[in-house]
Amino acid sequence: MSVIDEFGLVKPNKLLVVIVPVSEVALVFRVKYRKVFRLEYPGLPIKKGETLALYGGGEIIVPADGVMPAMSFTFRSRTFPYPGAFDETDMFYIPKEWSDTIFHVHHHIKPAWIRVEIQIPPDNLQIAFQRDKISGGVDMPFGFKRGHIEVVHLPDVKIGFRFGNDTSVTVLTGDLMIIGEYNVELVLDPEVVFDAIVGKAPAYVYTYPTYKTGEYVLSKIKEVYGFEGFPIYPEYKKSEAINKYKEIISKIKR
Amino acid sequence: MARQLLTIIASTDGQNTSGQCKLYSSLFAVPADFIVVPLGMKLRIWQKRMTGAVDTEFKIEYTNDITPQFSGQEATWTTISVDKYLSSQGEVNIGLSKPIEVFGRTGREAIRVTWSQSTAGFATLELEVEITDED
Repeated sequence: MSVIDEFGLVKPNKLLVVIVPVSEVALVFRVKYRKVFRLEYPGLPIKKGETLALYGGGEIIVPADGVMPAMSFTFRSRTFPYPGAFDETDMFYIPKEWSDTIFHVHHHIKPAWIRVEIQIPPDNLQIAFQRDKISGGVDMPFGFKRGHIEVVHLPDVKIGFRFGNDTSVTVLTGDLMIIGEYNVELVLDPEVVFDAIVGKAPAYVYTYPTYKTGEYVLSKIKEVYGFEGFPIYPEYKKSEAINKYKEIISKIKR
Repeated sequence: MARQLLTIIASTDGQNTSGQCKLYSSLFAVPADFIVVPLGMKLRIWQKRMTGAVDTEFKIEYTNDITPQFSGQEATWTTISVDKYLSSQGEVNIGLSKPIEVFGRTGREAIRVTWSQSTAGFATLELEVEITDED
């Protein structure tokens, strides 16, 4: 039986594994309960009068809120503002004190050809080919997705978005967000943690696309959860992993 | 995988007997002159519907390099579809069992629609279009 529902969100009482690949660590959560929202966000966070970069070089001024000019891309990261949110400039930012909360969001961007990438923290390029030799992103031929992107927001971790429109058409944009607001508990049973990380226990695995700034995410994880996550071991090193996990768990202040 | 369906309306200006159609869609903030196929995606035309009151020929044209157009020059256009509408008033629907497909191999490929008429008048070509990165 799948651990996610028809929207791609983790079902209650199922496990969510969050992997920070560059640091080779993971966190395992149990979703205790959740709220699911379907939000039609009216236009990408692009404001009338601001300047966007053009694929062919140069710049262009945005003619109206949420409108993405032809052949343009956002040079700087964006977040999604929402009035009344904890941080009104970023509706998915939650403070480190909210350690029992996680947002799991599927962004369905319109038109579906819009390029999208995420940056953690904002304005830090994450995608690179041949180690750090060639950077990717919405302004490059690789390093982006089109139309859909999935993001897990941990407390106090700032995530930015960049967008690109590589057609000759100035478009009206939108973002259908399927939002899971999870109330979670950190799983601290070494056996369950190991089984979930290596794929022996049913769990939904989300891998943070942080290939350059793992230290930032690690520092936030430590502030929020009191440790830097569980190192990832291969399946054949179970006893070594379990011992390490026991040691880590014994030191966590709760 | 990304997939966007949209209806594009190409219309004559009612004053000239030939020209390049402005392209309209509910997703477009302003009418477009041509549509560049995004890199790695495909533009598919599944259905065409012509309406109007005058004898009109619509052509769908393709270029594999739109770059000259951005510097005020003319790209090299090739006709990939011709629809001649000969009624005095009415409409014609053409459903395509196999779509007209244009690949965004370099991100410089584009399509446009042109018209020609014996007498100037209003006519439209409605295109049911899919832009997708699926095979």
